[in-house]
Amino acid sequence: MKKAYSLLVIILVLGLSACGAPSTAPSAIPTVSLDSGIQPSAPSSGRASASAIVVPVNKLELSFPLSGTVKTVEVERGDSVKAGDVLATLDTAILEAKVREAESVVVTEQTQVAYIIRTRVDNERLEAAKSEVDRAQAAVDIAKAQLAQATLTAPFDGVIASVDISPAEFASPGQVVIVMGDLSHFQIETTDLSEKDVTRVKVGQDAEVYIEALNETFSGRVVDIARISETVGGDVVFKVTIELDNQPEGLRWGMSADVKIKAE
Amino acid sequence: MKKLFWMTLPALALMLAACGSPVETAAAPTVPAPEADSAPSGFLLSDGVVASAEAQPARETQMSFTISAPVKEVLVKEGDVVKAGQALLTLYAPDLEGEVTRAELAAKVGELEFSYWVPRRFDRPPERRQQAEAEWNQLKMSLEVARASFAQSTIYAPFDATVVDVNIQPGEMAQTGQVILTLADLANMRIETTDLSERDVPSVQIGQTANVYIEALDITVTGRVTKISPISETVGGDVVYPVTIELDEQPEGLLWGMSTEVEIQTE
Repeated sequence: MKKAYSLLVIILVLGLSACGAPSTAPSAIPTVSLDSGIQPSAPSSGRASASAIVVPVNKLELSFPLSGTVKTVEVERGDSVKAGDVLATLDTAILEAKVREAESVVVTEQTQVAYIIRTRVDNERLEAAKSEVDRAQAAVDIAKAQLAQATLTAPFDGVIASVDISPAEFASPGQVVIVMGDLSHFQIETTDLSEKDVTRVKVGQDAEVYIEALNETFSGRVVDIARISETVGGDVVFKVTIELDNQPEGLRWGMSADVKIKAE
Repeated sequence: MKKLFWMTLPALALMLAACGSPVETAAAPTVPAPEADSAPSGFLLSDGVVASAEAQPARETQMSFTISAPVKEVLVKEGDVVKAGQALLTLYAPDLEGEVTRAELAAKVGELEFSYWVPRRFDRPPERRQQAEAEWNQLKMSLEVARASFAQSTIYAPFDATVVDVNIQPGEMAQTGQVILTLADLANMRIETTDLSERDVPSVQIGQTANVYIEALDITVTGRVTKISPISETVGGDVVYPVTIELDEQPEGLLWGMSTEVEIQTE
């Protein structure tokens, strides 16, 4: 009987250990990007891995240099624009009136100069009157420059990524109202390449870039390494920029990527 | 002995069954099937891309004043349908109004001054007439500046729309840039996805047809993809791209912010 019990125990133990193994397997969560960055043994691998995002080489956040009410918004998200195209304007009623006011002052000062010349009063008065004309002209230039600031134009050919303003809304100086980028030329920027790895990364090194959304790996080259760090969740990271050898179709601004840099 | 052996068999069988189930549940989360889950029963489960979405007006504006002053009149109420150019709200701005009156009087004085120099006489040189005319013109321009400044105390509808929200009452102070009125073009609603993943976006193209299930109305309507955001947004750690769908026909009762499920036919 005792023998039978011990047999039962053995069977039970065997049974539990057998089914124990498969149940633990799924709980192993892969920590891809963390492994190489934090483990001190990483240098031996000769690779620096990091998460990254796809961004256009040329991108810009546009804002008005003056505050005012938005009059028109000429573009929508996704629109293609050419350099110099008007994107949005502020209400310029006051600024336009100020330009005309400044121009009328110039006319007034010019008639004064004409009068002095004909009546041949002393030279000092003529010089004074002439400088008054110059001053009035400068005021016109200022008013015109302010008027020009009320129009946002595209600085390069590109695509409108976002528009955060509508007609009749208030825009303050520096408030980002339109984001645009040149979507014909993307690059990859790392978001979590640790300070421990950055020392081994050099400009010109080859890199493999896996784009999750396209499920494909592309080759590229390190073209820039940030000179100043950023802090991500307590980690000190450096932004490394990678240029792709060939730009694949279907790449979009903000897509996630995993990069492996062939570091020394 | 034999009896005992037979007893252990069902015990073993039970044990294996018991430890079999945790294996299954542990494996379950690895199956990424949020799309199948969220698909309402009305959809045919095809190869399409499924995402949650929200009804949004084609155009909306959150209006504010460029000056700070107390509100004089609120000319509209929530729900009103307004036309482009219609006055909506006025501020009490006696200083700007007074400046207009002052400039009007100054322009009048300038006109009188000019009329003095108009008759051609030996003691009235032509330059003085030109100068008086230029000064009069200058005063008229200053009047235009004063009028334009005073015009800022009224706001007008920038496009045909419905008044969605009025945030202020007569007598209250409106600060520069403070949102006091929201207008939206509710006659033209669109559907915008909120969780369409970067993995799905490569297969989405402008012009593809889509089925839109509106939960609140319990109907499915059809539409077309008109926009794919060129830039991603991050929602709870996921990289998503807002995709805009225009409906072939806007159903009655569709309101701003209503939840929908969309299925974009990608093939």
